[in-house]
Amino acid sequence: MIYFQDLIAKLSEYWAKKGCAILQPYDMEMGAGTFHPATFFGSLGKEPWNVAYVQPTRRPTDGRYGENPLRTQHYYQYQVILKPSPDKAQDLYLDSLRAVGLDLKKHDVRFVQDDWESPTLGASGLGWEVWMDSLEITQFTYFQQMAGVSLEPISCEITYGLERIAMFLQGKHDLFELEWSKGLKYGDLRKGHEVEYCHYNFDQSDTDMLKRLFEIYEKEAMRLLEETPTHKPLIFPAYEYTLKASHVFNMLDARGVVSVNERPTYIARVRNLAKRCAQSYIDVSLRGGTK
Amino acid sequence: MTTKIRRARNDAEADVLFEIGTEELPATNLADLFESAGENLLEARIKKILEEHRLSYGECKVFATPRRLVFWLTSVPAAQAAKEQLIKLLPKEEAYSADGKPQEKLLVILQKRGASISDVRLSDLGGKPYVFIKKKEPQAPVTQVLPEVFKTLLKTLPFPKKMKWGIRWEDGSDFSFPRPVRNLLCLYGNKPIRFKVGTLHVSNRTVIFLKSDRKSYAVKDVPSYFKFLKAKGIILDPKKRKKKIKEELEKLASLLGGRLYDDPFLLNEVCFLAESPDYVSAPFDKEFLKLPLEVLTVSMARQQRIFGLLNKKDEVSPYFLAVLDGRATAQEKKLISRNYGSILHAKLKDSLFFYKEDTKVSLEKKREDLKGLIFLKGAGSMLDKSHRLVNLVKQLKDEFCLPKETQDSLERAAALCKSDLLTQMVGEFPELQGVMGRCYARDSGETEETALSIGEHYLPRTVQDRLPKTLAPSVLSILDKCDLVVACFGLGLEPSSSFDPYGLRRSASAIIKITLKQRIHFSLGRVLETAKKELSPFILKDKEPQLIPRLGDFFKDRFKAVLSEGGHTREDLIEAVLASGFDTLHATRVKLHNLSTVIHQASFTEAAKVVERTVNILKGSKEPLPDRADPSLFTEELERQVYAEYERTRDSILEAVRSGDYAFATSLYAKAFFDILGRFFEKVFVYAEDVNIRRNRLALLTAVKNLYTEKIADLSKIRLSPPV
Repeated sequence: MIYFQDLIAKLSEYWAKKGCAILQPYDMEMGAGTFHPATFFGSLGKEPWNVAYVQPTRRPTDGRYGENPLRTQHYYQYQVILKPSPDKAQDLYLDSLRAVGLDLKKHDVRFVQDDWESPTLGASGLGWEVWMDSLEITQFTYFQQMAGVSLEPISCEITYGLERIAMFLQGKHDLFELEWSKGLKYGDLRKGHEVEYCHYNFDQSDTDMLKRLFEIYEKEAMRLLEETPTHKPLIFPAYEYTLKASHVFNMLDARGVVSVNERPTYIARVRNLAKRCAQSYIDVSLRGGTK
Repeated sequence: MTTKIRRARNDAEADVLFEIGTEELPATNLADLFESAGENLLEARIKKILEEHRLSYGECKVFATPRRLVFWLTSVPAAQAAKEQLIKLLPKEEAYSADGKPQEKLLVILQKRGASISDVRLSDLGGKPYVFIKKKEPQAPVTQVLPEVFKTLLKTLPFPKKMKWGIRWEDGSDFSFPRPVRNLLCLYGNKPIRFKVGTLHVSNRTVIFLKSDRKSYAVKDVPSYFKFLKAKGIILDPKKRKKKIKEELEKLASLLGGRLYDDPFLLNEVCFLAESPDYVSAPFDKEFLKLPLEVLTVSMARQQRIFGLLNKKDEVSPYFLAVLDGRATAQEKKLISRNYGSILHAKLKDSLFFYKEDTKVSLEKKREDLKGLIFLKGAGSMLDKSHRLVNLVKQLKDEFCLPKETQDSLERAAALCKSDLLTQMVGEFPELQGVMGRCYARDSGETEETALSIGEHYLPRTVQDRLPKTLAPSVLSILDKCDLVVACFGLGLEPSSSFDPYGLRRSASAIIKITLKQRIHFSLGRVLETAKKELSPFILKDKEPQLIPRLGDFFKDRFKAVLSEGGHTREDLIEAVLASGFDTLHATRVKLHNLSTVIHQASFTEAAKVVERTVNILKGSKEPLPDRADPSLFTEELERQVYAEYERTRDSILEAVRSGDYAFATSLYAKAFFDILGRFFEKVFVYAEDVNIRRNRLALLTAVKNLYTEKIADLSKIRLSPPV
């Protein structure tokens, strides 16, 4: 049996051997591993950057009260960034699936076009959803832009859906049935949380508070990005407030209180913060400042 | 798709093969390129490049799979085609002496250009003799030209979206393509053409990537390339591949006792998601059959690219069919199809979740939230739009002669038809707008007519799409589109010749087609006026005065286009009929059909001549004319006779028009006026000196002309065949 925790260990072992630094998850709520500063800032700039890490991911609208075997509002991504993107990126990826124990000959593996975009990060790229027997198990993207900046060199982003890959490894059709470690199920660890968070995200969260928080976080991020004669911009703290604003927006969205008209405005406000963070980061790097 | 130039087989000729090996190309881009009507743009591109490089060929074929684009040229000669150019040197008088001897000046120039006196040609230029030389362009060997052709091809293939991945051309610019290019093959017969593109080596190697296993193979020559790929199960030609996939799926479907759910878009897409297709089918849980057919098939197609199965009654059967890439054993298929099935299970569970969530709040309640959804910037929200639609139904119910029950259910449909835009299902599958409205309306006990009207009011969604089947949805679809067209014109968002972002031409054509199909009688002018009135708070002030005439012109163009589709009706007749007005679209078409049955008869030609001659003579007059001719001012017998004919036949002609017998009206008209007007024009000088007599004659002719052109058609627009 390849336990869920083994899958993570094997991926880390594989990518470490390929020269990646194995980083840790970022300790904040985010909608995807792409928001981790190691990807957001790491993909900017010229220098090579090869990292891999697990990122717990929150997508409040994807919650199904723990009743859907494939969809949850909280799950685990395994994220790899390869900069510059190697010629053999696809094969490196397929080898990683073999390394964790999948027999690819026995499956229908497909690279299905995906013009990926993150409107809140102002990021876009071209690549695929990788499908195994028609289930998306990975997002594979050649970044073209981050925070509105055209990238050079191009990074390759590989984002594994860990639960889904584990389901193939363990022959399970419900992610809550996955075995995390000997005698411990994924559902034992996560189901209670999942159900409670669905009630909270969809029905119970205090929307007035969330709206206020959005304003507060946005204001703080703006303040930190201001450059005054006495203050240099504090880019990383500002980016954290951007992440917080982004998550609060997702929470409001899940409550269905963001009207269709307001949606683009909220997204544009987060994107504006992200762009300013990236711009300051590039300015500082150009001046030879710290990373 | 192919050009065939039959030529004698020449030993100095060979086939050329370019293969661009890529990571998986976007299937929808390839489907667009290979399935769109007209010329294949990839083929057009290479042909253009070959022409520019003076390379001739027998046939040119282009193939594509997810992982390769293949260009195959037959019978390509070993060198470029010859090309001669005439170069002007100097005037003859400067080049030659009077006795015809070449001058020193000429000899120096010839020497400089590496030409001899035998290359000289004399030719006139602007009436003056000049000296030219014939110069041959060098004929480069094909092995030198092919790298240039291939590079140009790689740089200029027409794809809508390209990406960078880190390879550069010699000049430092990025090599961009829809997805990374990883392998390039170039063969001339059995000769590999080797060169470099950035860091890529072009060679005679091809890459096979099946079942996640990638291997590179050297290819001996062009025929063995095709043989080799075939042996690997790869079908290079997309047309053959699509045909094969369809046949195999249909075979599987009939084994399951059903019929493949027809989804041409999905078929086109899966054709470019597999180069070595294999097939599986499996059942799914019957509990999902409570989802509507559209939800099931869209969910399967969109989320897993799999097909549904229909039973004999055209209902969904609980099976799916899938196309795999790479041949699988029976054992492997068993596992793969089980996985497909359990994923479908999860996806359909999600659709059931959406369905359950959506039905928690009624369409009526959701309607209030439409105020948060913009219809069109400047034309209010979707709630505003739904109010307008309700008002239009109320005001126009008599115009459309709606029966009482239909009025009620249509009003209800108008109020609810946009609410499904706020449902989760439509959020997930936007193409289900309308369809979900229909389902949810049925669930909440609306009448079947209301549900159907909601469901079909977006039809036709594309040019080829079906039209609404019954009166109520047809009317709602017409009103929905009229509101859009009037709103856009009122906001200055009219389409330009090449750009129609709001699809107004399609909408106008749809209004016309629906009206004609359902044979609905209504005044287009009245409907547009009412739509304009409803939109008046949103219409820009400076657009207002000319709005209705401009819409008239716009609809006239669309109507012409619709009527001339298929080319069965003469365009000049359409032109002539529309010139007499087209306010009731249906009646106008009836008239057109009626007249086209007599267009070859003598009476039609005679009537046309009457109109043509009166129109021509009236063109000369700019003066104000009396409303009607005054018999007391006639001075000639023929004038009185024409007038008498007019008085005698007018009512019967108008009666024929009223009863829709335009052919009969035409023959009455011809009989009444053709002979007599012939004599009239021969004998009577219309432009008499006396102003009153002249104006009276012109008024008489105007009456005769108008009797036909106002009610039937402006026959002066008819092309009469010249007399034999």
